[in-house]
Amino acid sequence: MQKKMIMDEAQLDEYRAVAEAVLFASDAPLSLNELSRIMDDVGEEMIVRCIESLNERYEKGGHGFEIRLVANGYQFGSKAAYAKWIRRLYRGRIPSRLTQAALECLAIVAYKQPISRTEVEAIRGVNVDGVLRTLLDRNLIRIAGRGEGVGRPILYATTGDFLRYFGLNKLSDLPKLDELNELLKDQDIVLTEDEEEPDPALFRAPGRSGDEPDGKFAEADGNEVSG
Amino acid sequence: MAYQVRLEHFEGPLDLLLFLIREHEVDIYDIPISLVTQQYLQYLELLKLMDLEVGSEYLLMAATLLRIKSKMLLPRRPEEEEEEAADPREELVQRLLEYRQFKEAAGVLNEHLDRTADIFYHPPMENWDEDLNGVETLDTRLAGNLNLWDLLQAFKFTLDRAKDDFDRTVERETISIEERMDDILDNLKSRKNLFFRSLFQEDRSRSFLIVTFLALLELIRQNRVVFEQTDTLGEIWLTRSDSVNPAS
Repeated sequence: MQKKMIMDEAQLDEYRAVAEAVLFASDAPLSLNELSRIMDDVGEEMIVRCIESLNERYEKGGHGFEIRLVANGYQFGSKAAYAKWIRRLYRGRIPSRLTQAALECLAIVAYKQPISRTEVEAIRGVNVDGVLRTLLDRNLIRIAGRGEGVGRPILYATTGDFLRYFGLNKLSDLPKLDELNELLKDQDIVLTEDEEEPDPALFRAPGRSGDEPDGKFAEADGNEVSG
Repeated sequence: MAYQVRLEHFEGPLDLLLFLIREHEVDIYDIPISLVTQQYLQYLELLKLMDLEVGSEYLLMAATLLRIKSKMLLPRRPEEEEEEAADPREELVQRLLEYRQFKEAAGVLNEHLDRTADIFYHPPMENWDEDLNGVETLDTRLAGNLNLWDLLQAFKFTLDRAKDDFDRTVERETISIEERMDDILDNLKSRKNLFFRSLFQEDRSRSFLIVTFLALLELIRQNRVVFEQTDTLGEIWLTRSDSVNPAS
């Protein structure tokens, strides 16, 4: 029994080093499947153990990075605490944050994919040409084919980079639309029958309620991805 | 005018309507259509006043609102009454509800960004090496749930308070948006932050106030200033973005 455990330990040491080397050298995130194939079909369980063990070591050793699982692939990621220094490194090369318009388009594409430009426009009520182009440029959406309708419109879908950019492991990590609607309904103001339309004078009152419970959704989907 | 502020900073007519509904705490399922229409048209006028190009989608929505309003004023025929005549607002409400859920979803994405923006991967994401200067993706850098409609609203109040003796024949103050941008940045050099309000002295002409607002929009677009709103007083602050995040 004891001998078996020692064997196990030695094996783990070996595989762990292999996994680390492979991940270090890889030019793309690696799925469990790929890692397993590369490592003589060692079994996914062993690989998960290797990665957990590596992360424990990084943690204990006070390293600035760890292995993270994002978009179904393992890769090294720096710890958030050191972002300030990395920003200096990449000064001017880090894409700026997406605009609200871009985020809205992206949300529509994410939930409705594959979807045509006109369908996105129908929902947002504005032209989305420029925004879609930006999202394509940034590889957050891709052309996923052509639709059936008149003119066979181009259809858009999200990419793996979309998941990586938002730190998601899979699309279903996002809350369901129904869940979002439930939360929104809770915030709705419903006037009872006998209430009059608000007085016009009220419409001029400055200040805002500003009590949107922004934090709610973080709790609602609460499955942050970490390696 | 060297800087043309585009209306795409604002999220469109549906967004404006949602803003008005939230702001005035009215029931989205039972929209007081005449009041909302009146408010909506006021905002459009404000945008026009600032020489912002009001897109056709805004005008289309204005027409839709007016059509609904007139339909609601028409007496219903008795036979319609029986078969529960459709509420003329129904379609609009459905559109608003649908748009709203995606706006919420965008908020969720934004929160994910908050958590991941500080993590850098090896290998890095593919789309990093491009020259980013020309890319038209600048964030509006508004903190929390403050959006551009809030700013526009704040501006609307200052404009309403401004002296009404604005005479179109009087010689306009000839300050350009660029000059005003420099002014604002200079102001921010000597102190850390400014009240939004303090930029709009009430004794200045409306054109000065408008130029100031356009200069602010441009500074936001260029990520040079950041806006924040304190929860308690609803006062909007403005800070230089480089003092917020010196590393970026």
